[in-house]
Amino acid sequence: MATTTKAIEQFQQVARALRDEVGRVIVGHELAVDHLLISLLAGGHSLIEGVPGLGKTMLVRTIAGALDLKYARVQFTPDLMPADITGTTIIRESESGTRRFEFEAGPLFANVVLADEINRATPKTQAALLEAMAEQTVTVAGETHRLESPFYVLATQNPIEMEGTYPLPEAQLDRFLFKVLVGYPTGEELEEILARTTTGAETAVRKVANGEDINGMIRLAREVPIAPHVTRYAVSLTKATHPEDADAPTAARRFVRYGASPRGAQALVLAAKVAALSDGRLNVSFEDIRYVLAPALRHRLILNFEAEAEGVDADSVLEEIAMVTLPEGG
Amino acid sequence: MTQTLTEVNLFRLVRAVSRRMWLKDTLRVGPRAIGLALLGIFVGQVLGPRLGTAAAVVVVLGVGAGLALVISRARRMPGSMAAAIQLDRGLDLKERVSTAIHLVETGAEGAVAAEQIADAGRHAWSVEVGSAYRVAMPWKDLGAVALLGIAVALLAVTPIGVGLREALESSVGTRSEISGTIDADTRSGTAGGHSDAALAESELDELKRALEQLEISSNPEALAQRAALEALGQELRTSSVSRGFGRELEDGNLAAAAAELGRLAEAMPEMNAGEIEKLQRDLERAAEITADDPILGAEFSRAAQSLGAGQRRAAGDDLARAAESVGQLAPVLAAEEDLQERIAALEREIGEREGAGGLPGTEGSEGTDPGSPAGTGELGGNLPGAGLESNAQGSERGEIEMLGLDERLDAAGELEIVRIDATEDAPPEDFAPPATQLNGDPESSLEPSAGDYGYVQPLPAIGDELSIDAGGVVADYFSDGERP
Repeated sequence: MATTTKAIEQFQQVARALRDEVGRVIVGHELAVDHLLISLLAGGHSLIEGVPGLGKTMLVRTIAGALDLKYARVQFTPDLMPADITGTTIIRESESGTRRFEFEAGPLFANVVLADEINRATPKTQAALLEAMAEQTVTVAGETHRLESPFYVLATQNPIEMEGTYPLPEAQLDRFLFKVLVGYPTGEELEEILARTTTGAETAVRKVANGEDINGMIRLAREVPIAPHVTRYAVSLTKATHPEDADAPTAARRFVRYGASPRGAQALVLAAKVAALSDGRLNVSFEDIRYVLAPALRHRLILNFEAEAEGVDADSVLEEIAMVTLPEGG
Repeated sequence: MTQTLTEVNLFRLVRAVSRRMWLKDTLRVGPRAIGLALLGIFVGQVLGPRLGTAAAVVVVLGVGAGLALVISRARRMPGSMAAAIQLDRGLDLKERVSTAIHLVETGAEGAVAAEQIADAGRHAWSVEVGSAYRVAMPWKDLGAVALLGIAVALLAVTPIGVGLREALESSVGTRSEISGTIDADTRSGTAGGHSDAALAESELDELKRALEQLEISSNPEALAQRAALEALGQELRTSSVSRGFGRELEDGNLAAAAAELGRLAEAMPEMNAGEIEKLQRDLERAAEITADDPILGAEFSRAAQSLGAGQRRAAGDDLARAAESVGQLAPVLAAEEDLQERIAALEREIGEREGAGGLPGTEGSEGTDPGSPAGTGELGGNLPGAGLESNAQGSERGEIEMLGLDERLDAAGELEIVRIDATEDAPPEDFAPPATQLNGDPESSLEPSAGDYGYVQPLPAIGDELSIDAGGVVADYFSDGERP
């Protein structure tokens, strides 16, 4: 038990250190940073959405910089081919003059992969990333290669420039544990950003965790117990996103075409476990579930035309769901 | 599996919360259940003497329901998990205790589970259940129950209560309920065949008191109103314009009469000058007859005046209002009729009990029995009969009306009531039409007259038609122009 106590303490320490280290470079975006770290420690992948210039790429680079892990950045463009990210088999000649095929690993063979502007690549290339994200393997020329753990994909996309982009299909969106929104900074935050970035002073990021730490934390998070009534709450929230469900609130019935999949409920529980551990608890609370509700489910709701016409987004639907769906004893 | 000290403490804490939850629920529901039972007793006391067995059933049901509620609550002691959830919620423990209880109950093993239980124990260690789960006495509810209990006790025991109960008894029922109860009492009394003279005397007094109450409740104005409307009905029944209204009034169907009057108001714009003049006279007569009724009389009068002034729309509105007033009278007069029936029945009962001699003031009770509709079947005797002739001309508006067997319309469209003399030697008539025949009848003398019954002229037989030699005509047409 002493080992466990130590592991829990270490979890909290590393999580706090990571948060602090990222916070030294990134001004504001505390919620986004917290959600990205939860996603990392839950062993999932994150899709970051925000207009250009808000520091999405910087945020990912900082997180990668705080981790003593192999980091790769892929700039997704329309002419990017699957082999460009997975790697390919090349002919290599030895000193003795013999030639043989050898696999040259692509950028996916890293621990933290930044897929920048993922929606600019063709569906073929996006699909190559899909296999890596879902199964942590890459298959080239009939040969399957296992990716190292931890494997964390952080993809960014820009919601306004739709020309020349290939929106991610729902199946691929569902593979992301979280969709994190990066918004505009406040006035004070903007002042701080200007002060940090226009003076020539550069803040170096220290590495506070390595792969072993992260893998240990992922394992520990999965062991966190959850009471049945808390699980039922997560289930109720997931079911409430289904427009045909009897308990679905009005917003879900009106604006949702397809609700969250079981993978959404898994994401809720898994992320809530990490949130509980980060808070120093070994049990999941209703509050943890609510804390991760929006990033875990917002990209899994497919809204209908009426929602689009009325400017209703997934977050407002989820907000009403959280308001209407009450936990037991609540 | 042995429980650790932490687990024991957790369960002790949860059980304490569970007991408090039960207590809180019971305190919330208990006074209501007792109140319900007391209310049952109270109602039983008030209605007991009137309803007999029914009151006893009410009391038993009231008490039973209250007790059942309390017992059902008592049986539902909240489980450990429910109590733990409430504890977590009450102290904002973020589901620590409920998760720990779940882990203990499911026998979860492992270092993380043990650490979680220990963590819950640490957080629950300093919890005082009393402060965490406060149980407040529902003083308001208890006070209300106490007051109700005292009221019931006073009503049952003290002389003031007994008097009050009698007063309540007399005011609880409506007029019909009172007379209905009296009827029930007298019936039971008669069936029981009381031999005790004193008891019979007291019952007789009670019947007389009830009769007095009913007579006080009776509304002579309504009777006068009814008589006036019947007279109006008799008057208008023979009118070519208002006879539908008059007939319904005479038959005592006030709702139907109101509908007829409404129809008359609607039809007014389409009436010709003669009909309008006739209607005006009818309305003037109606105003005279119902002059004692300040509402109806005035409405008829206004309608007549408006018609006289050529204001048909205003007259129509007045007539519509009069129709509404007549419709509103229907339930009032029906209630009065019911009351009179009860008074008559009670008078008969008292008369029977008092033996052969009639009671003063109850003479003619048979005559007041409104069982048979007044006025029906008598009018024919007052009007001269003049044979069985029917004028099928109908009204000027062309309405098709069904006339009664004793009614006919004269040339002016006025209704006449005829009396058929059973001894009159009327020539027998056979209205059965003869069968329609085709191709004539072998005996020409028996053929029906076409003018009387519609004789059918037989069609010529198709077989008798002349054939046309079309071939020759066509051949001639296409010949070289040499035509014969």
